[in-house]
Amino acid sequence: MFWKILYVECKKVCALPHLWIGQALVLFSNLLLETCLLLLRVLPLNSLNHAAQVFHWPFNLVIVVSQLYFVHLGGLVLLVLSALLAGQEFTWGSFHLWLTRGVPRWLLLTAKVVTLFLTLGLTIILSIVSVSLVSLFDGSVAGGVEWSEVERMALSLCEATYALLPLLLLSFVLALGLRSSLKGIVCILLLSLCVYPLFEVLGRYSQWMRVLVSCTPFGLSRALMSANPLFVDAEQKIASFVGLTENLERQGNLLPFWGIVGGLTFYCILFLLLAFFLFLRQDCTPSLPFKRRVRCWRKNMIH
Amino acid sequence: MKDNTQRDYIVEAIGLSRRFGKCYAVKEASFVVHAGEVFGFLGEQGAGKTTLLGLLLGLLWPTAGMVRIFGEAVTPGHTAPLRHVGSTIGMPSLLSPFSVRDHFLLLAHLYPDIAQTRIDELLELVGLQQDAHQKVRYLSAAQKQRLLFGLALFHSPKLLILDEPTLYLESAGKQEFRQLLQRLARQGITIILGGHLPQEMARLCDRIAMLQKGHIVAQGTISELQQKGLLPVSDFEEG
Repeated sequence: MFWKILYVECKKVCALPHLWIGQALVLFSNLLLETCLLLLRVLPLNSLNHAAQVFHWPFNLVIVVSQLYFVHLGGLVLLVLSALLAGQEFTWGSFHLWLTRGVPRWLLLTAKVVTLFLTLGLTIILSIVSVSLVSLFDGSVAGGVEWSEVERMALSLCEATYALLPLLLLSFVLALGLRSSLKGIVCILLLSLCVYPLFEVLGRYSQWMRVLVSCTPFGLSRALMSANPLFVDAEQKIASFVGLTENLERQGNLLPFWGIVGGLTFYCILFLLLAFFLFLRQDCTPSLPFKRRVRCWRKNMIH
Repeated sequence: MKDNTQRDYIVEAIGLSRRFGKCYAVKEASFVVHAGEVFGFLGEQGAGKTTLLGLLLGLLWPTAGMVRIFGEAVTPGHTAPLRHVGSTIGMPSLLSPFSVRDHFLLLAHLYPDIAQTRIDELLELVGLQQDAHQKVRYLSAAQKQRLLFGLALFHSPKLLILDEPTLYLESAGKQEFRQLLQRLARQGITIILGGHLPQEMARLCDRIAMLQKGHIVAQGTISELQQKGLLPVSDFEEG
């Protein structure tokens, strides 16, 4: 039964135009960044040329790592997709198609969570393939690649993925709890682009606020990314290239590495349990059209 | 061990209630539906029909009471008995990026033992063979309702639960649907209907429960309700 439901879920997700628009956006931005790096390598510009030389295969995969940061395009696209996966059936009102046929709720939700992981995997694989293809054509692979470099890149990619995971699950829970993909998307974007940065700024003036912010899923995600040397190097080089004077050196994390990983694991489990708790307790009736709802409310017919 | 009377019940609800905030949408509803019967819930819009059917289909958690379908309790946490139930509830809500045929194909994954020819059979039955490849977002409400009815029949259910099944249908479609429902009832399928038109419900149902503000105010056969003056005689004699 699980595989059948998973297959149906995958088919539903593949039919979502948003998925392919998101993937296209991420691919386009990857290729754009890759082209910029290629131009930097080729053109004898200035001292920055040296920094750009570092980014040859497999180190230009750092673009993929960087995209997975939650305020970057890839991360934001994935957060939006996560909310869509969870809330789309509330928007369509189509949950009843499965739930009234004896499909257990926990099974349906498990299939949705697995589909979310598959979507994450698809985004990463497509990004790696696109960046790799450009590297093949620009000849930066020609020098050969050492295994240790590939290992380092893979580890860095895993770290970036793990840093994003609790936020994806948070987005999933929000859409599920609010019974709407749109509300879920608005909430997660507000949290990641407005609320968290605001608290981070406040954290500069107050120590307890800094501790508090660093313990949120966003803070932990940021901490794991800033413990990722490849990501920090890339951020610094890009910042200096675009002329930013702000010091982007690795931030001193309040928690040790394994503390950060433990915190992220805690949030992953918490959000997963919350998603199951909410969905199992929820009412899944198709909503009435707005006009009819207003008419019912006006007549005060339900007592 | 169940006795014979219990075995005859396909659906049994005991003291079923559902409260939203301080308001009861359904309050202490108790009824039974026998095998092969066409049972109707008649009430105005907002009387609690959809909520009651949602409770039967495990879409809503009851505040109190219980529902048994085929002798097994149904809650949102336990919906196994619904494997043999076909249903349509509320607004015709479907997966908008998919075509009519895709909906059947998706369902076919849940019932691998059902032949693909069943899809064409049902498309013809509900009159959607011309629109089989049309995306559902371009369908009218009547077409969506037809599709939902086709999907409800896909796995040849023993029990059909239909909420306002003719609400969006055109008059010819309504007539066609009535005939189809009568044919299904003759085949021994138990049917539960929700509706707000006394004439139509009286034409289709063997027994009716009348809902008012979430309460079952009366239930019985058509003639019993007629005798009590709860159903006007002329309404269905005209039909």
